[in-house]
Amino acid sequence: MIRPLRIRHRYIISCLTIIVPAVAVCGLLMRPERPIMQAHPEAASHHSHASGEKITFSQLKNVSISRVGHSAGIHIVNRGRLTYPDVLLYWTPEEPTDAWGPTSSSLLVGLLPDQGELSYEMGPILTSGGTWVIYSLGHKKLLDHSRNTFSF
Amino acid sequence: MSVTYHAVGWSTFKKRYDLILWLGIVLFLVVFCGVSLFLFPKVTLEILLIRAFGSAAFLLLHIILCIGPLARLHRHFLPLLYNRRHMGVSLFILALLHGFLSWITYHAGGDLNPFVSLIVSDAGPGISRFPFQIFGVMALVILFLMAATSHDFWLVNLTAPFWKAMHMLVYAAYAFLVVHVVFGALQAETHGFLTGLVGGGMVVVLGLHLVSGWREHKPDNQPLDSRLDQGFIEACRVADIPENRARIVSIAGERVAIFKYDGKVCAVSNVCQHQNGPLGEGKIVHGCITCPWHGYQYLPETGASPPPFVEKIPIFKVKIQNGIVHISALPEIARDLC
Repeated sequence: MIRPLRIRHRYIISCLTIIVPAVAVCGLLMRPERPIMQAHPEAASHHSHASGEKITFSQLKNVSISRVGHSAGIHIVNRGRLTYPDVLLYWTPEEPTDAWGPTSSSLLVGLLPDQGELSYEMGPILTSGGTWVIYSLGHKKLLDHSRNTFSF
Repeated sequence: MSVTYHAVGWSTFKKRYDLILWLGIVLFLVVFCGVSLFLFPKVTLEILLIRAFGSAAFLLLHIILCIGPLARLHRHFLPLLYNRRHMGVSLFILALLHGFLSWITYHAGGDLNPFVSLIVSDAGPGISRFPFQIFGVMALVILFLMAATSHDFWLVNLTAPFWKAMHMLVYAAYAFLVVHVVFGALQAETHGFLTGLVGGGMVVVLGLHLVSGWREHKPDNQPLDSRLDQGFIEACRVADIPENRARIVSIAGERVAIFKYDGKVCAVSNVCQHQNGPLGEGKIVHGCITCPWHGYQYLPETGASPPPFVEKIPIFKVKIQNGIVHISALPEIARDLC
């Protein structure tokens, strides 16, 4: 490099040495806490605390929802493979029709596991009747539904 | 040099350089994908490729930025310098693949125009909404400009000073990419190993530039008056110059290459007229000083290129006293070979 370029090069590197690490440290320090989907605290001992109450579905026979002990938690088991994308579990107070879609009164519970198990905390709504709905968000299609029969 | 035009002046060295470069890139991609599939077996193909191309491009940029200072610190790294432009074009190809796949995956499936989505998707308050993708795009634009103008055609038409200044934008691209990675991938991937890699890369790149810059700073600022003796300046010992090669000395900030060949000593400007390459790092080939970058040649006695070429470099008068080389402080204009 010729001298003017060497001088310019030195100025650039001096600036970078200050700015780049400072910006990088700021970015790392201000890293947000992200919520992580965690298992229900009682899910690990689900079987020993199972209340015996279980809800099954007419179409998706591999899917079942059981109550975690006597808490307000539910444990979802799916022994089969999902054939639709974005399959979600909803609770809704009304009786759904085939053209059902999420409404302001329905509650999105969470993801339906693909050949697996998941647990969710429901709160008081668990024993308030209504219907469990399995819905494909990708296809905007109701896949199955079943009455909520969990009781106190 | 040649009087016939070739788009790329391929040589055995360049072919071997490119072969090793691309074998290295392919090897990195294969190892990266293999390890990723082992650690994250549920990762999808497009995400895997986005990560692989992005990581390869970021790593290659670090290597490219380290070659310059390493070559200034030790001659052994000079061969890496001579074909660095091909490495830069390879870097752009990897970065483009990363950018294109990311754009298709994250922005082409929504209701928004993919270009609009790219700009507005990170907009909003808070550090978590920092527009890191825009910084990636800005770096990609710089890499494109550098790759597109890497050919000698642009060097000649844009002139060497402008071309060099434009290619110094690589440092801006590096800064943008650090921001892109820290505010992008490292926001979700909180494992200390990845943070350590990015931080370590930063220390190596900036550290090497600072060390090599510091070593050059001292001779660049040495006053000329204190070293002058009847218009000449003591340069080095004849015995310190390797045969058919040069020793580089600094006079008032400008560098002079002192060559020894066939029992003679000559001094010329260290700057090649083609692309400001370091002539002193080249050697005498067929009686001509040959630039290590692109093979431009000059006759040591006159500083002029052999016919039919017309390039000229400044030369310096030389006198030898007691085995010490003294060179004139002011250069002479190169003499035409008639």
